[in-house]
Amino acid sequence: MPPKQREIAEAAMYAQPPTYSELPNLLQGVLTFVAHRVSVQFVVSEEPLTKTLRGTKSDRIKLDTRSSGETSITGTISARLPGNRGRISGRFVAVQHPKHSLVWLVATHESTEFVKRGLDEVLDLARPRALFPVLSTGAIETLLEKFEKHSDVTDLRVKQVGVRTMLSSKGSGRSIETGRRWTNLSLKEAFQAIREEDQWATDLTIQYTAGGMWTSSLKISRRARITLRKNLSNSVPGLFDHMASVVQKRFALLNGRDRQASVLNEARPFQIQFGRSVLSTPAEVGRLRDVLHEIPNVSCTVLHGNPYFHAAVVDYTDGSSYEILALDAEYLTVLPQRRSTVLALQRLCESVFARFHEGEIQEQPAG
Amino acid sequence: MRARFRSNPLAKTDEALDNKIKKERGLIDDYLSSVQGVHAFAKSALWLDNPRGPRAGGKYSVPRKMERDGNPDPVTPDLVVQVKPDYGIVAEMKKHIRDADAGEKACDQVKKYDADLIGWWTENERMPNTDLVLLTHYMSSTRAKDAVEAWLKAGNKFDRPFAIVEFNFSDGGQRWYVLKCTYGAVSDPVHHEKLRHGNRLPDDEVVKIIADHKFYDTEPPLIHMMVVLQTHIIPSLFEVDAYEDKKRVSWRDVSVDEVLDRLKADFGHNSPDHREREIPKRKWVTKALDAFVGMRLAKRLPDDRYALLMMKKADRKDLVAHFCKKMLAKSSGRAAKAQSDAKATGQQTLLFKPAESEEPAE
Repeated sequence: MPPKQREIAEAAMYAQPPTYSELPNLLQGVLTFVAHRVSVQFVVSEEPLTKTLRGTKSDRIKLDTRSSGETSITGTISARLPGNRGRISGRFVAVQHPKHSLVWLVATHESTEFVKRGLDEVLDLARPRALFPVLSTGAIETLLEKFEKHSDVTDLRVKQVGVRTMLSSKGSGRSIETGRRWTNLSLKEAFQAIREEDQWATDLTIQYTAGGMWTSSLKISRRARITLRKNLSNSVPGLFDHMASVVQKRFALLNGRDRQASVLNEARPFQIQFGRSVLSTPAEVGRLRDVLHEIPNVSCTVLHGNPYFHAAVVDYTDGSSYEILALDAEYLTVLPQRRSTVLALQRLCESVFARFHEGEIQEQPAG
Repeated sequence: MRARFRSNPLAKTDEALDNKIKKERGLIDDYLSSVQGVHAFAKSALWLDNPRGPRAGGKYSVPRKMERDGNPDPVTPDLVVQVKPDYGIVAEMKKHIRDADAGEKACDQVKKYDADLIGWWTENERMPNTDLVLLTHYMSSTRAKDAVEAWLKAGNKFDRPFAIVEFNFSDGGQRWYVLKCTYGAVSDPVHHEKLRHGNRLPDDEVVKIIADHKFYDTEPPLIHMMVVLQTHIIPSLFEVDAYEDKKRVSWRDVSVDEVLDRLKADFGHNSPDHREREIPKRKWVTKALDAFVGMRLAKRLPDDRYALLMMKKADRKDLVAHFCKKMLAKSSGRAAKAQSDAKATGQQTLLFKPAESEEPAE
């Protein structure tokens, strides 16, 4: 790639904090002249990242930022790698979604290692913490279905699927099996196969024709990260909007459920619905108990094991507490208590989805 | 004479700890299911199917101090439910009725409420129609019935309608909370018909009971109070920032009243009604805080204050197990010291066993 054009594209992307509407073109510029892919991580931040990132401090990480008002920020990160492997550096931009203002799109073309060791760690250092949402298989399916319906998108095929499934094998220390398949299916076929095999998706890579002219590809992960390659279709901004909407709704579902948030000191329970019987035997309930015990930095006190399961949990990450009830084989009820932050509730949901069974978060119904 | 040792207090076996944990879990479970039982029955008595929800104007109290007309000694039934201005229910909770003697005592206790009780939420504080109910777990329901029949046969009687209602979670794919009348009847025919077949409480009401009620008029097992404090109250006394620095040791100076007020607000009573008992009681809280002092999780300060140490994790990942382990270690340490002192003075310690009481360390 001509060096001058590469420099222009990089400068356009990182030199000045962009606006949300400028972002797709800038990403395209980077894909054309700088790198083969860009990743866009969706995070939720209760305070503007322009404010919270400026306050981050760490021995391992150096961060320089430049922001434009409160809605976008660009930065350079230099992070020390573990194991005396030196340092890794890179750049990023973060832009607030104009409609779903708690949602930020954090984009970079840098390597996976930079994203993991630098960018994700910087976001984790922000206070209040930026939350990495987790999407269900159903949410990923809906996002891609909407994407496929866009007039600019044709010939969409699923090329790669990452999955998880429950492992039932006596003597196995693990309860979850991960897998990856390279394939060539329609969207409908791909998700049907996932459901038929009782799996849940960790990521999907699709290939499609954009604008009737050029092949394009993208990957969506359950961690609300979109990785874009080649040529961006006009439908990508719509995908960003849908993702932001899903992410903000998930945050809203978990937010403000503790007693502290209520004038009447009432907590608001919610359910994790599995849609099938997963808690009907003592062995299954025992597995749930083990999964709860394995959540890092958490104590889980079992108050009743059979026929119903009842446990009280403290999350020492921030002093949150809640209770878990299994009154039915198909769902769990989560009872937030005095302090139950979104972060703590999300850690619970993520652990249950990753290591027990995927589910959907829903309001507690009456009756 | 050979010295005999019933058990070696220094053998901190897993078995001793596991037994203690099992025992404490059983006690906590008994206590919590009694709490749930009284509230569940109250909701059952006040429930309307159409329109769905609690009856407007219905009230209940767990427990309630009442006077008896013509008797100077007041009574405090575990549960008093005013269903309508002219109909109420007085109930006593006895989760386990282990033998005939316990059954007889339960009947005698209920008989104390078989009087014109004063303290209802009516203008004259009286109630023209009252039912008496004995609440018990389904496993004790038959013994309760046998006990009532024997009690009646012995010449006793209830002047008011009396019923035994058992409670339990059903065992199946769906775990329903069920209340069932197994003896006698309550006066409300609609409610009685539901109880006769087994009245299933709506799941959302069961969830509310479990979320909002952790205590009733009986003193809870010490470890239950400790678990509630260290799960739901003490962690939120510290700012979120305090949890960030894993190495920082954080203390929080609190008054007993501050802790008690939070407990009452979240899980008990905070009613100005003089007939309602303070739930939980202050002395239950100080007992637990003193236990934390014994475990070096708190320090006693002057003026009814404590400095609480922020727990950052619990070994064994379960607070019941964690506190049992600490208590056994403390009592084993005392036993070891006693043995070592005895050895130093040339005396033998006979028939010594680890202290099993839940009393806090000095």
